[in-house]
Amino acid sequence: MKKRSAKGQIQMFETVGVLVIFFFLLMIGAVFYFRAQNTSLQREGLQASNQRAFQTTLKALYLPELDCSFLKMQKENCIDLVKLQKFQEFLEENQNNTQVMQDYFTELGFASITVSELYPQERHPVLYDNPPDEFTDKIVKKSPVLLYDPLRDEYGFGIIEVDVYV
Amino acid sequence: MSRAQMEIFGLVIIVILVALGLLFAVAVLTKKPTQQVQQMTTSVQGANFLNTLMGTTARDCHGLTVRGLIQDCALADVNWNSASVCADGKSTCERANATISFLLEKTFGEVLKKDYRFFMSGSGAAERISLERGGCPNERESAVRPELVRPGFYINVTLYLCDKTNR
Amino acid sequence: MTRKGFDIQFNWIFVMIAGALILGFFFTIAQKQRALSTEHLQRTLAVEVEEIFVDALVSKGTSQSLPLPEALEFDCEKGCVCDLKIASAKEPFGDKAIFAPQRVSGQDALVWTLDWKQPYRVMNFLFVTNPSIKYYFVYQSQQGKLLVDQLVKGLPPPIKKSGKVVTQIDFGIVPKENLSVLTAEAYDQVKFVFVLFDPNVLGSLVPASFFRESQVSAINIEQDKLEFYEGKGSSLVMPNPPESYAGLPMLYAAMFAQNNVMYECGMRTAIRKLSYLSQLYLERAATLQDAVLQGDVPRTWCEYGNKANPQVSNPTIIDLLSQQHDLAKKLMSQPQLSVSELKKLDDLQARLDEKNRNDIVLKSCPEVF
Repeated sequence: MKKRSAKGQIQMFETVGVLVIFFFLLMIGAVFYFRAQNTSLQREGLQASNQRAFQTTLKALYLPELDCSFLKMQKENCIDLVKLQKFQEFLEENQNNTQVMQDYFTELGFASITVSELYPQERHPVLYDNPPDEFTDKIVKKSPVLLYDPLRDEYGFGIIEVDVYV
Repeated sequence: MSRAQMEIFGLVIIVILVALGLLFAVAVLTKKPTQQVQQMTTSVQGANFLNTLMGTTARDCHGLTVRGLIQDCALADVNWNSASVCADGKSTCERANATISFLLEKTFGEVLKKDYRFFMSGSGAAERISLERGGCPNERESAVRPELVRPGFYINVTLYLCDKTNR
Repeated sequence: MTRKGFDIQFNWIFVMIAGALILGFFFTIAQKQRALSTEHLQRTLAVEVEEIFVDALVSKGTSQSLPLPEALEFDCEKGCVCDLKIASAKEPFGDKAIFAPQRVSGQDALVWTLDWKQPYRVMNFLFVTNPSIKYYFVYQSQQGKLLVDQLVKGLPPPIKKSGKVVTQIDFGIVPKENLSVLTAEAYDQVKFVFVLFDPNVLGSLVPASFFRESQVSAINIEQDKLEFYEGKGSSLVMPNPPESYAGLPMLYAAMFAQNNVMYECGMRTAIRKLSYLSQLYLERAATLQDAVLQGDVPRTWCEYGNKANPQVSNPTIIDLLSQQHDLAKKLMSQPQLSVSELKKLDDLQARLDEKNRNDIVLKSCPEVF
């Protein structure tokens, strides 16, 4: 009787042991799978943020507030220096105007835009600066751009830098 | 444990392992390659640079843009002797060389931190303007832009870009 | 019970618990995967649609096709809370002037961008439609026919890929006398664009068969106002007061907008943008004038005006820009866009264009825009 009882107990332990190992393996598999999913999601999130940064750069380059307009025709990839200066002043003056900041926030989001002139002179005015209180990463897009000086009727060379916060 | 139980358990383990393996395989195989996207960005960057460069007005040269300087230089002789002269006494070829060199160094050397090779073909005088930083002998992306000098006469402006090498 | 009985029962209990755990585990994975896939699809769609809209905005005056794996729903509520919905994902579009029906589904959508210029580019109007929506232009007079022809001429052509039409604006031109014999076709939505009709007769003009087949709506373009109608039962009703318009872009906006709320929200966004830009151009012109006075611009004959000293009889370009800015601000403050003020806006943009060309550009002065 004792022998049969011990045999039953051993069998029970064996079965439990098998199940434990089984679930252990399942859990390891699940952890790996969800980690992979997480990484994939993070990568997708980064791609989406990159896309957003690219779109913000495009929007900044095509803003009517900055574009080079000649008899109502726009020159591509060009920023008017006088408009840049006046738009900068406009945004500074309207820091406390909710409607203005809301309008440009919905257009440009949490970002910083700097237009650096490299030639013929060096200047680095910050046009738009709206970082969030907290952010995990910053995507930086830099693109060469023509800078038109209407007073001299000349084109300078500049770099527009758009930093998008994620 | 009976033999049958052991066998069934073994089968179950195999099924689970195969299923997990398939899942990972599907996840890996369906990922888009990122290398292509990066290469396209670099080519666009090169094209953007050339486009902007051509439209830039050069200093002290009668309001000519870099395009205008290159067009004038392309018609000169190989020694740049017959090129037009800017307000500061330099030839259009010298002015083009200096401006392009400055902008390449500022843009890719300092700001974007990339190695480059810039050169032109189609005219002996223009071919003398050849600038590089690192040279991009290996993997690189390129942007090429034909510039019209006069009807039927084009020169090709080429820019290679690559990641900075350790020097 | 015997020991063997207990043994068997314990076995079954084990089997049930283990089976439930395994099933539960895989069920959780499947649910999580489904949720992740849905989130991924929504995010991808939202990003792709945003990309299309940004591309359209920077393209100016072009049209492009937008494949629709999921239906697009546009919704504008009073207070101008405007959202674009794709599946359960929602994207606000308050910063863009988008005019679209409530729902676009099935065939590829057509996204058409049109510059709104005053006379400089202020912003782009974005129109969204697809071939499941039919537009009927209805006229009853020669003047009406002329306006219909003008509207139709400005519409973009069908978009083709590999020679096949993928999307287009499906429209028809109908004189009033042919309206009663018009046959209703199987479209999701039908929009009638009545030109210079008496609003009192509009209610029962559309044959009843249209209301059975499709969702019907209409606008009536009068000399200086726009009426928005929606189908109720088998007639058209005008639930809201008329709106105002000035220029063709606004008429297209009314044509594509689902209702007067979306139209007015888009117009207010555009006018608000105009108030910012007119201020900007005013400051730019003032800078150019200062540069002339200081000798930075070697053309001493260039005259842009004086902000502090406006001229009434022969306004300068600075005076006109100042008037435009004040008018835009006035329009923004009104509860409803006024006809007379919008007409003034239209008039101002023509005068600004003429001033820029004749007084500035023709004299080789740096142009204002």
